Amino acid sequence: MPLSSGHPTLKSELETAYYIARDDGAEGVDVIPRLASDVGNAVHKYMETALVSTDITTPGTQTSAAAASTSGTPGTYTSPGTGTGTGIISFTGDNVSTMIGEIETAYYKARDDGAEGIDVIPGLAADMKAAIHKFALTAKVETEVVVNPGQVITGYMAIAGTTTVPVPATSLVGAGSGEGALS
Amino acid sequence: MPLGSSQTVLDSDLQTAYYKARDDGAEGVDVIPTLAQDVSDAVHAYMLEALVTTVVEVDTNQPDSVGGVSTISPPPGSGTGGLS
Repeated sequence: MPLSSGHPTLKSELETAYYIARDDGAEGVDVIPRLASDVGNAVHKYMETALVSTDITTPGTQTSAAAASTSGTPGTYTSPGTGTGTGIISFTGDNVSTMIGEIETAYYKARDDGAEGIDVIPGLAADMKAAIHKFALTAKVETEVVVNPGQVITGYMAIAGTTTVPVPATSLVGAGSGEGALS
Repeated sequence: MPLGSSQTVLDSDLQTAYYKARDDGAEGVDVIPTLAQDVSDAVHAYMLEALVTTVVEVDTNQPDSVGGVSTISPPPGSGTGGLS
Protein backbone atom coordinates (compact mmCIF):
# COMPACT_ATOMS: atom_id res chain seq x y z
CA MET A 1 0.00 0.00 0.00
CA PRO A 2 1.70 3.24 -1.05
CA LEU A 3 1.62 6.57 0.76
CA SER A 4 -1.24 7.67 -1.49
CA SER A 5 -3.34 4.92 0.10
CA GLY A 6 -2.22 5.79 3.62
CA HIS A 7 -2.94 9.47 3.11
CA PRO A 8 -6.77 9.29 3.45
CA THR A 9 -6.38 7.12 6.55
CA LEU A 10 -4.04 9.68 8.06
CA LYS A 11 -6.61 12.41 7.44
CA SER A 12 -9.37 10.31 8.97
CA GLU A 13 -7.34 9.41 12.05
CA LEU A 14 -6.26 13.00 12.62
CA GLU A 15 -9.88 14.08 12.36
CA THR A 16 -10.91 11.48 14.90
CA ALA A 17 -8.07 12.51 17.21
CA TYR A 18 -9.04 16.18 17.03
CA TYR A 19 -12.72 15.46 17.70
CA ILE A 20 -11.84 13.32 20.72
CA ALA A 21 -9.64 16.13 22.01
CA ARG A 22 -12.39 18.69 21.46
CA ASP A 23 -15.00 16.59 23.23
CA ASP A 24 -12.75 15.55 26.11
CA GLY A 25 -11.55 19.11 26.49
CA ALA A 26 -15.13 20.30 26.81
CA GLU A 27 -15.36 18.05 29.85
CA GLY A 28 -12.27 19.52 31.43
CA VAL A 29 -9.97 16.61 30.67
CA ASP A 30 -6.30 17.28 29.91
CA VAL A 31 -6.49 16.21 26.28
CA ILE A 32 -2.86 16.65 25.36
CA PRO A 33 -1.40 13.21 26.21
CA ARG A 34 -4.16 11.40 24.32
CA LEU A 35 -4.03 13.83 21.40
CA ALA A 36 -0.26 13.55 21.09
CA SER A 37 -0.48 9.78 21.17
CA ASP A 38 -3.26 9.65 18.59
CA VAL A 39 -1.52 12.09 16.25
CA GLY A 40 1.86 10.39 16.61
CA ASN A 41 0.43 6.94 16.03
CA ALA A 42 -1.47 8.18 12.97
CA VAL A 43 1.70 9.66 11.50
CA HIS A 44 3.62 6.48 12.25
CA LYS A 45 0.96 4.29 10.66
CA TYR A 46 0.84 6.53 7.59
CA MET A 47 4.61 6.56 7.11
CA GLU A 48 4.78 2.78 7.21
CA THR A 49 2.51 2.59 4.18
CA ALA A 50 5.39 3.88 2.06
CA LEU A 51 6.69 1.76 -0.76
CA VAL A 52 10.37 2.07 -1.61
CA SER A 53 11.74 1.98 -5.15
CA THR A 54 15.46 2.14 -5.90
CA ASP A 55 17.83 1.84 -8.80
CA ILE A 56 20.82 -0.20 -7.77
CA THR A 57 24.36 -0.78 -8.93
CA THR A 58 26.65 -3.64 -7.99
CA PRO A 59 30.36 -3.57 -8.76
CA GLY A 60 30.70 -7.15 -10.01
CA THR A 61 34.08 -8.90 -9.43
CA GLN A 62 32.49 -11.97 -7.86
CA THR A 63 33.67 -15.37 -9.03
CA SER A 64 31.55 -18.16 -10.45
CA ALA A 65 31.84 -21.80 -11.36
CA ALA A 66 30.41 -23.67 -14.34
CA ALA A 67 30.72 -27.22 -15.63
CA ALA A 68 31.16 -25.68 -19.06
CA SER A 69 34.56 -24.48 -17.89
CA THR A 70 36.15 -27.88 -18.51
CA SER A 71 39.57 -26.58 -17.53
CA GLY A 72 38.14 -25.94 -14.08
CA THR A 73 39.01 -22.26 -14.05
CA PRO A 74 36.45 -19.97 -12.41
CA GLY A 75 34.68 -17.10 -14.07
CA THR A 76 34.81 -13.56 -12.84
CA TYR A 77 32.13 -10.90 -13.24
CA THR A 78 34.11 -8.21 -15.05
CA SER A 79 31.38 -5.63 -15.55
CA PRO A 80 29.23 -3.86 -12.99
CA GLY A 81 25.58 -4.69 -12.69
CA THR A 82 22.41 -2.69 -12.45
CA GLY A 83 18.95 -3.50 -11.19
CA THR A 84 16.09 -2.42 -9.04
CA GLY A 85 15.02 -2.62 -5.43
CA THR A 86 11.54 -2.56 -3.95
CA GLY A 87 10.67 -2.51 -0.29
CA ILE A 88 9.28 -0.89 2.79
CA ILE A 89 10.21 1.34 5.69
CA SER A 90 9.77 0.61 9.37
CA PHE A 91 10.33 2.28 12.70
CA THR A 92 11.23 1.09 16.16
CA GLY A 93 8.80 1.49 19.02
CA ASP A 94 11.31 3.64 20.88
CA ASN A 95 11.34 6.18 18.07
CA VAL A 96 7.54 6.24 17.93
CA SER A 97 7.46 6.95 21.66
CA THR A 98 10.03 9.70 21.25
CA MET A 99 7.96 11.39 18.54
CA ILE A 100 4.81 11.18 20.65
CA GLY A 101 6.68 12.69 23.58
CA GLU A 102 7.91 15.55 21.42
CA ILE A 103 4.43 16.21 20.07
CA GLU A 104 3.10 16.23 23.62
CA THR A 105 5.76 18.75 24.64
CA ALA A 106 4.88 20.89 21.63
CA TYR A 107 1.18 20.89 22.55
CA TYR A 108 1.85 21.77 26.18
CA LYS A 109 4.16 24.58 25.13
CA ALA A 110 1.49 25.91 22.78
CA ARG A 111 -1.13 25.69 25.52
CA ASP A 112 1.06 27.51 28.04
CA ASP A 113 2.25 30.18 25.61
CA GLY A 114 -1.30 30.67 24.39
CA ALA A 115 -2.44 31.28 27.95
CA GLU A 116 -0.02 34.20 28.02
CA GLY A 117 -1.44 35.69 24.85
CA ILE A 118 1.44 34.67 22.59
CA ASP A 119 0.77 33.69 18.98
CA VAL A 120 1.61 30.02 19.38
CA ILE A 121 1.20 28.93 15.79
CA PRO A 122 4.73 29.53 14.44
CA GLY A 123 6.24 27.72 17.41
CA LEU A 124 3.74 24.88 17.29
CA ALA A 125 4.27 24.37 13.57
CA ALA A 126 8.04 24.40 14.03
CA ASP A 127 7.91 21.95 16.92
CA MET A 128 5.54 19.59 15.08
CA LYS A 129 7.72 19.76 12.00
CA ALA A 130 10.81 19.00 14.05
CA ALA A 131 9.18 16.00 15.73
CA ILE A 132 7.90 14.58 12.44
CA HIS A 133 11.16 15.23 10.59
CA LYS A 134 13.32 13.71 13.31
CA PHE A 135 11.05 10.66 13.35
CA ALA A 136 11.10 10.23 9.56
CA LEU A 137 14.88 10.17 9.57
CA THR A 138 14.83 7.15 11.90
CA ALA A 139 13.15 5.01 9.24
CA LYS A 140 14.79 1.71 8.42
CA VAL A 141 14.61 0.88 4.73
CA GLU A 142 14.62 -2.72 3.57
CA THR A 143 14.46 -3.77 -0.08
CA GLU A 144 14.45 -6.88 -2.18
CA VAL A 145 16.80 -6.47 -5.12
CA VAL A 146 16.66 -7.82 -8.65
CA VAL A 147 19.95 -7.65 -10.56
CA ASN A 148 19.57 -7.31 -14.29
CA PRO A 149 21.10 -9.98 -16.53
CA GLY A 150 24.01 -9.28 -18.84
CA GLN A 151 27.09 -8.82 -16.70
CA VAL A 152 30.12 -10.11 -18.58
CA ILE A 153 31.83 -13.15 -17.07
CA THR A 154 35.35 -13.99 -18.21
CA GLY A 155 37.75 -16.71 -17.17
CA TYR A 156 35.84 -19.83 -18.04
CA MET A 157 38.06 -21.98 -20.28
CA ALA A 158 37.19 -25.16 -22.18
CA ILE A 159 39.71 -27.80 -23.24
CA ALA A 160 39.62 -28.12 -27.02
CA GLY A 161 42.07 -30.77 -28.21
CA THR A 162 45.48 -29.77 -26.92
CA THR A 163 44.61 -26.20 -26.07
CA THR A 164 42.04 -24.24 -24.11
CA VAL A 165 39.58 -21.68 -25.41
CA PRO A 166 37.51 -19.09 -23.56
CA VAL A 167 33.88 -19.84 -22.82
CA PRO A 168 32.00 -16.54 -23.16
CA ALA A 169 29.32 -16.08 -20.56
CA THR A 170 27.00 -13.47 -19.19
CA SER A 171 25.00 -13.39 -16.01
CA LEU A 172 21.31 -14.16 -15.77
CA VAL A 173 18.92 -12.46 -13.35
CA GLY A 174 20.29 -12.21 -9.83
CA ALA A 175 18.82 -11.45 -6.44
CA GLY A 176 19.88 -9.59 -3.36
CA SER A 177 18.76 -7.25 -0.64
CA GLY A 178 19.23 -3.69 0.44
CA GLU A 179 19.20 -1.84 3.73
CA GLY A 180 19.30 1.87 4.18
CA ALA A 181 17.73 5.09 5.33
CA LEU A 182 15.82 8.16 4.27
CA SER A 183 17.34 11.56 3.84
CA MET B 1 14.69 17.44 -2.71
CA PRO B 2 15.58 15.48 0.42
CA LEU B 3 13.63 15.66 3.65
CA GLY B 4 16.21 18.06 5.04
CA SER B 5 15.07 20.57 2.44
CA SER B 6 11.35 19.77 2.40
CA GLN B 7 11.04 20.18 6.17
CA THR B 8 10.89 23.92 5.55
CA VAL B 9 7.82 23.41 3.39
CA LEU B 10 6.30 21.15 6.05
CA ASP B 11 6.78 23.88 8.63
CA SER B 12 5.15 26.44 6.38
CA ASP B 13 2.26 24.16 5.43
CA LEU B 14 1.56 23.37 9.08
CA GLN B 15 1.59 27.06 9.96
CA THR B 16 -0.86 27.79 7.17
CA ALA B 17 -3.13 24.97 8.32
CA TYR B 18 -3.11 26.15 11.93
CA TYR B 19 -3.76 29.79 11.04
CA LYS B 20 -6.64 28.78 8.80
CA ALA B 21 -8.11 26.69 11.60
CA ARG B 22 -7.72 29.57 14.04
CA ASP B 23 -9.38 32.06 11.71
CA ASP B 24 -12.20 29.73 10.64
CA GLY B 25 -12.76 28.72 14.24
CA ALA B 26 -13.16 32.36 15.20
CA GLU B 27 -16.09 32.47 12.80
CA GLY B 28 -17.74 29.47 14.37
CA VAL B 29 -16.85 27.01 11.64
CA ASP B 30 -16.11 23.38 12.56
CA VAL B 31 -12.42 23.50 11.65
CA ILE B 32 -11.54 19.90 12.37
CA PRO B 33 -12.18 18.28 8.97
CA THR B 34 -10.20 20.93 7.12
CA LEU B 35 -7.42 20.99 9.70
CA ALA B 36 -7.07 17.21 9.50
CA GLN B 37 -7.02 17.39 5.71
CA ASP B 38 -4.46 20.19 5.62
CA VAL B 39 -2.14 18.56 8.17
CA SER B 40 -2.34 15.21 6.41
CA ASP B 41 -1.66 16.92 3.06
CA ALA B 42 1.40 18.64 4.55
CA VAL B 43 2.83 15.40 5.94
CA HIS B 44 2.07 13.55 2.71
CA ALA B 45 3.79 16.17 0.53
CA TYR B 46 6.78 16.09 2.86
CA MET B 47 7.15 12.31 2.73
CA LEU B 48 6.97 12.17 -1.05
CA GLU B 49 10.19 14.22 -1.14
CA ALA B 50 12.20 11.61 0.74
CA LEU B 51 15.34 10.26 -0.83
CA VAL B 52 16.29 6.65 -0.18
CA THR B 53 19.82 5.30 -0.08
CA THR B 54 20.65 1.66 0.48
CA VAL B 55 23.62 -0.64 0.73
CA VAL B 56 23.03 -3.61 -1.55
CA GLU B 57 24.17 -7.18 -1.01
CA VAL B 58 23.91 -9.50 -4.00
CA ASP B 59 23.25 -13.16 -3.27
CA THR B 60 25.50 -16.00 -4.39
CA ASN B 61 24.19 -18.66 -6.78
CA GLN B 62 23.40 -16.07 -9.46
CA PRO B 63 23.10 -18.15 -12.64
CA ASP B 64 24.86 -17.45 -15.90
CA SER B 65 24.43 -18.26 -19.56
CA VAL B 66 26.61 -21.40 -19.49
CA GLY B 67 25.02 -23.06 -16.49
CA GLY B 68 27.35 -21.64 -13.88
CA VAL B 69 26.55 -19.91 -10.63
CA SER B 70 28.34 -17.24 -8.67
CA THR B 71 30.16 -18.65 -5.69
CA ILE B 72 30.81 -15.49 -3.72
CA SER B 73 28.99 -12.20 -3.41
CA PRO B 74 30.45 -9.04 -4.91
CA PRO B 75 31.43 -6.16 -2.66
CA PRO B 76 28.42 -4.19 -1.50
CA GLY B 77 26.63 -2.11 -4.09
CA SER B 78 24.36 0.84 -3.66
CA GLY B 79 20.81 1.87 -4.32
CA THR B 80 19.11 5.24 -4.60
CA GLY B 81 15.46 6.05 -4.98
CA GLY B 82 12.38 7.37 -3.33
CA LEU B 83 9.03 6.63 -1.74
CA SER B 84 5.60 6.32 -3.25
